[in-house]
Amino acid sequence: MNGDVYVRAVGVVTAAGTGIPALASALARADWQATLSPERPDAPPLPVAVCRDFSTQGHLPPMVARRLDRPARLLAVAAREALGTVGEPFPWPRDEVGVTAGTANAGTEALVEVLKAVFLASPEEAPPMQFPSTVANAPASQLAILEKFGGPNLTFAEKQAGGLRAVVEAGRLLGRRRAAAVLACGVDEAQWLNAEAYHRLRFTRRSASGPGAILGEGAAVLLLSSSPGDAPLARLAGWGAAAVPTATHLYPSSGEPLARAIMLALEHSGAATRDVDLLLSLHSGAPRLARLETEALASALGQRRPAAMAVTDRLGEGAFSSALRALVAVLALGGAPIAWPPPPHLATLGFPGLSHPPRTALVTALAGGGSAVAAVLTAP
Amino acid sequence: MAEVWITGIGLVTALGCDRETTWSRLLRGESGVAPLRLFDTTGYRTHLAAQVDDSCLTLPSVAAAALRHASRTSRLGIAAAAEALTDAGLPIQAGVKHPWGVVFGGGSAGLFEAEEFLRRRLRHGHRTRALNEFLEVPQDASTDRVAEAFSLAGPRVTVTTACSSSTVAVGLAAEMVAHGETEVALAGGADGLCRLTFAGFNSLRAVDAEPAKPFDRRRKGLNLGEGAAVLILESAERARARGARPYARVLGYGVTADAFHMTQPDASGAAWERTVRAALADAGVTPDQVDYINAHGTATEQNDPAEVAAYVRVFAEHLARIAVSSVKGALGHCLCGAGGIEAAITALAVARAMVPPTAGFAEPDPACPVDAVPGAGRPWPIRVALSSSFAFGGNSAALVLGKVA
Repeated sequence: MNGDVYVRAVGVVTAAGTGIPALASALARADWQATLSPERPDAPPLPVAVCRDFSTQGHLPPMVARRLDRPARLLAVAAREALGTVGEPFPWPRDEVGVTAGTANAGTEALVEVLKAVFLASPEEAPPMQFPSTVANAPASQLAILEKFGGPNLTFAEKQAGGLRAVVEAGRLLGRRRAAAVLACGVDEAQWLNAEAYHRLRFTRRSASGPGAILGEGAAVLLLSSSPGDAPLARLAGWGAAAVPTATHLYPSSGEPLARAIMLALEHSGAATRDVDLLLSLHSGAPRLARLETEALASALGQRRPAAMAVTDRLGEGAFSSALRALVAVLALGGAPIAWPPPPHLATLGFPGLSHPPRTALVTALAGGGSAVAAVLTAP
Repeated sequence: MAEVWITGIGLVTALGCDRETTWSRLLRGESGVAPLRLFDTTGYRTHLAAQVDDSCLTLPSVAAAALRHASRTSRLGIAAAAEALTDAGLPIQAGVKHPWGVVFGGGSAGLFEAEEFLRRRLRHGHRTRALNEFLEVPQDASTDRVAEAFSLAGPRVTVTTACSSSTVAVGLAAEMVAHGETEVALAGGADGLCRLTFAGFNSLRAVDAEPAKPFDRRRKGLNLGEGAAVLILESAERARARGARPYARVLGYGVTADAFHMTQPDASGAAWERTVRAALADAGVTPDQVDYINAHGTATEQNDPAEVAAYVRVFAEHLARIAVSSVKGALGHCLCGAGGIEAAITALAVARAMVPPTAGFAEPDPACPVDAVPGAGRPWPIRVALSSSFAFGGNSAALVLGKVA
């Protein structure tokens, strides 16, 4: 990696609430579970962990919030939390602050609204105010407009791996000196059509206790910089990515690309498998994903059994969730009490729960279509 | 850091199913803008677009399994990738995984097909059948499809920054090759026409009911288009070793945000000036070395003068001797595929010392004081060329290509 990359601040909105304290409180309770309640206009609800009580009040001026759609609001509020902790004066020229974002579904609600007008009324009724929100880069762009950030503004589409892709690409931008600081983000909205598609693919759980994933909603933001500042939260030590040809809506047939991404990340960071003492599992509740992760870890970590925990099976799957895993890793590296246990498939293999603050965390993501991303974060 | 060459180009546009047809018709000043046939435009304010002929989407050289349920956009991408790989002399062996990366700009992906599903879903409720039309909605679907079609197992990245997506993709891919993350990258993108973008741009009144006229004082907006471009990027060392012929070098790229407005440009050009300066700095070239600019040139009233204002700021007196052309008058605005298509055209211009014209341009606008290359292409030796893209949300990118010595 070209130079160090530090996590300077974090901000979050999840089904656990708005802000790091709400997330930390949930993480400290072993029994915490999200309330699942996505609405569809004409059908029973689907399993999505929705940010039910989310409001921009107290975070964004009403006139600003009004012009943003929900993903942009989620992201703006999470970003404001991160930015609020770096202090004044703002440490970087705003023209040198970038945004990277991963999203799986930002823009879908706006898209549905525009097409509703086209199909159910007339093409002339397409709402011009909503059309710009149909592009997936709208949340990241709105954030840059709101905060006057003129650095690179890049959104990545890599389905479930999009959020972690945004984190590692922020590292690349900093390493290449294309920005002085980057807000690396994941953002998704609870959107009925998106949830319905996953449900039809039999990806989501069909009953409260049955197998399958829940989808998520929220925004996770990591403020990265090549300078440590006074109190860095963590260091992005390295990353790796790999892929295998796979149908775009399916997970790969083996854990090989995930294993390769993990090994590249370890190599890039200069860490050995024995250094890893926390694994942020990508477990979403989907049995196939658990099998692929098991295969990949056997190949990449051998007999090493670091502490493991999952957040995606409780806060939901999506692009934002892989950025959220990186954010939770940062909290863990900082000593936040975490009571969430390892997922069942890893507990069975002897992966213990987190009992003491880790020094090195491994965060992974695997997307439909066969691409995998891994990152290594270390205590500063 | 390795020098990066472009050793293969695949192009599918409204002017042709392949690179050479597109290039030759482009040089003749022809336009692919015509009445849209892809869907019924009754009720839309305008009716023109640069649509790719359906014959381009029949791909006999690609395994049928790789095309099953493939969207129009993915077929565009696969067709361009097939041509680029052949052009580069990189044969695809059946059953062999190739460790090459795919870095694409992602846009509408399978939205055209998904619109049909959504139309039925909105009218008939949640029991509506047929999910296959919905599978390629994710913006990275076409990237996945290209990787699957050619068994590409290298790193895969999909950038989605609206109209600058595939410009960033080419820049990022070049960076990955330069740093040894992948030995070969397929870079570019594909974007297909669909009702959403057609209705959306019409609602913004950004579309001209007549063929677009970039930089012309009569311009009234853009025409939408579709297409795909794939550029094969590899290190000069690797290319030399296997005797590959380069079109151009990727010297660098710049990417910034103007943090101004979701759809309106900063009229002063100051924001885009930063993008161009960042690109030139990354490439290590000075304004006086640039001989050609493949402009964003959408032909909207506000966009063109803001873009030229940026060039005036950066190139000053040198701008008078720089050819500046937009291919959007001929190929339409291909949105997330546009940057890749224009990077491919720019690479051809560098390699062949010919600049393409700006189709539709005839009457200069004092607000756009550039040599916009009217009529037909012209011989034009190029040391360094710039390809610019400016997008929704103020996400701007510029790519710098150079002649291989």
